[in-house]
Amino acid sequence: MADTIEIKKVNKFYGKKQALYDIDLTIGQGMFGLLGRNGAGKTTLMKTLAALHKKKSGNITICGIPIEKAKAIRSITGYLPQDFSMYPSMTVTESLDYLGALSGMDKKSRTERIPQLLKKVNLTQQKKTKVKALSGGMKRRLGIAQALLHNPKVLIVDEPTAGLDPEERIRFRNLLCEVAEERIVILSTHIVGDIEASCEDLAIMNEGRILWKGTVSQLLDMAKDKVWLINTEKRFVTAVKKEYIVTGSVIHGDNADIRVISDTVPDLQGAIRIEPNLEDAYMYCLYSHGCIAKGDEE
Amino acid sequence: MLFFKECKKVFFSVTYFIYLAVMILMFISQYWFDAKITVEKPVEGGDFGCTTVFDAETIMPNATAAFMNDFYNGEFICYPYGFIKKVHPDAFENEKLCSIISEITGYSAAEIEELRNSAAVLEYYEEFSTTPKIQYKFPDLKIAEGMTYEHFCELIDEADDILGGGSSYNSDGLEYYSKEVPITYEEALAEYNEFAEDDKVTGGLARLFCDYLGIDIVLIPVFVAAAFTYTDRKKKISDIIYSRKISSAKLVLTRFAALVVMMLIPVLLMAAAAHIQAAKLYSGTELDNTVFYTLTLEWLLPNLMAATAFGMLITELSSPIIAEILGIAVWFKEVCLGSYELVGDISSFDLIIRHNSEMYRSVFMANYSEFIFSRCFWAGIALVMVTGTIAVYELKRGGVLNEFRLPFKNNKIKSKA
Ligand SMILES: Nc1ncnc2c1ncn2[C@@H]1O[C@H](COP(=O)(O)OP(=O)(O)OP(=O)(O)O)[C@@H](O)[C@H]1O
Ligand SMILES: [Mg+2]
Repeated sequence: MADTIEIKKVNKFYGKKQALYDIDLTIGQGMFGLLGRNGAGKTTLMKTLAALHKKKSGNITICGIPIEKAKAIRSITGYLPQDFSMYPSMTVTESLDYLGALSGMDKKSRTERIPQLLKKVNLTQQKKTKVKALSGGMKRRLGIAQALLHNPKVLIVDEPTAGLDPEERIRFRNLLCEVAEERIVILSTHIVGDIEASCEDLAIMNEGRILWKGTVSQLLDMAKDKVWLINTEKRFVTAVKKEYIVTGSVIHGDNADIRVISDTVPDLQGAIRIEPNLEDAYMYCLYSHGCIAKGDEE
Repeated sequence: MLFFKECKKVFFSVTYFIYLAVMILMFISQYWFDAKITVEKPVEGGDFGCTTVFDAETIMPNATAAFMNDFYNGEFICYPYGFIKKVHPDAFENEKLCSIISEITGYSAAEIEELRNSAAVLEYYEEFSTTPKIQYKFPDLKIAEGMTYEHFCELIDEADDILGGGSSYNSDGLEYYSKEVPITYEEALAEYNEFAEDDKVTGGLARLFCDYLGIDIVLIPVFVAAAFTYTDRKKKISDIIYSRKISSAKLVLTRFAALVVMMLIPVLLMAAAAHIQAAKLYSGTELDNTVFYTLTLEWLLPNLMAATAFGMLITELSSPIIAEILGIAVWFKEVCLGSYELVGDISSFDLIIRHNSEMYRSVFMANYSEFIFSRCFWAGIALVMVTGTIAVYELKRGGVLNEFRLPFKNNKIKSKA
């Protein structure tokens, strides 16, 4: 109880526009993935959890603390916004020192913790670099460092891997997994691979609603027997896309391997049933809830 | 400590350097050169210039004569909003003005018309003009019997209203028509002693110092505070700051204090420079060695606080541009449309205090309680505005309130929704 986030029937409006509908979630220790398309409401939900947004109705408690106690919530949560930035003329160390002071850390614990964190996020070499001189990936790493600075029980990271190179992305996931051993980490993304590699539990959001929640293997199970591989001539690819949900196509020469989602055996020659990956399962979930229709370009 | 970190942020902001430049320029170009001209002890038998004394019997005919001159010329120079405006009354207004002259002088309308022809006339040319202008002179103009000064003031104010305000004919500006009398040696000596003994030189100079710097210290800090407050939003740092543990009150107060202290330090340094200058120029005279600093704190600090708090509050509420425009508007009203008096013009709610002289201690001291009141008043207003800023910050932080945006700046939000 004390180590979970309980979200009950939360509704949130931007003016007249409703952004969250009756969100119900329980999030425990470890990595929790929030998956959804652009505009699904991931950022909105995360900001609400970070006490930066006011909900219209419902209840949220974080480790037993009601969200209304903003100060207490802020002292146990770390937040990395989707578009993280910092004062451009401050150096990496200065930025962390400043934000640490805002988190109420004393000088001693700041000087102790900052080098540790820089090492963790692989920024030790850049500790005297100005924020404006950092690359996008380095800035993200600084972002995760600032969110971890005050050793929060809950870490909320909004699309932390967007814009990272593959190597950096893997390092980032590993870092998050490591961090998640002792706390709750909520990660939002629209990149399925991030979740596949790191999360146990996930929720899929669409248009302000929780479409589905469960574990990664449950999601995969759901799509079992629904994914097919078709080998066909290249010129038929467009036609297949019109008829089926296509989650991938690989072209070799004149032929193409197409991954297709279908509840029944596709009416195509040589369709082989294959094991779904998480991306297939995610697409299947959206499809089976009517969020995407056949022929949609995804 | 957070306070020093905020100070550092202020120090490295562009607007802070603009502030430094403006204040130093003001200090050198205005104060430094004024103060260089030392006040000398009067020597018996010298010429000490003239002063005016209040005398209703002089003011009334002088003002009326000037008024009649403008009336005959059909042109009044007015400053209704601080800007010059030539007012030409129409027939209906002329009739009313004529009846006012008639009441003041006791002449009938016909007699007033006659007087025009019998008046002494002086022809003169204005710059770049080839048509002559006429000045009418009435050396022995009589005022109607039994006319009291109070009633005269009422009538002259009525004329000012007809002219649309801002003319030189209103009861507050009548001193201009007072009698001029030469200053005697005794008076000059008394004035000097007031400066040298009561004010110990620096007391007077400190007032001149505050007078000059007081003009800009109500405006430029608005820009500094607005730009500083806006940085978080402009660089998209707000969410990171919002999500930290620190209370809104502590954060806003620390930032306010950092802004005020950082802007106060250069002023105190300039006060020290002025102090050293005075010590050199008046070596051998006993000086008050604290007054430059105490008066700076008393006089300028409330202005600085009010301007800073204003910039912060309006920027949190809407945008730095709005803060700057409103700041300029208030400043403009105070500086350009305020009273013309530059010495001892102090009332209880004045934002900008003017006393543009190192002399006239007694004039200043006569209004001392108003001075103290106005300083406390504006410091209080500043604290109210800071409290308002804290409240606004707290509401924005929790997502309860969004800043008010200019309509054309709204596009971003609309296209997203
Ligand atoms: N400040 C705002 N005012 C009005 N509407 C908003 C605001 N912020 C977000 N929205 C709307 O709320 C909905 C959810 O937005 P949100 O940013 O939470 O989506 P998201 O899942 O984070 O998307 P993305 O993957 O693009 O980051 C969208 O329809 C968006 O247009
Ligand atoms: Mg988002």
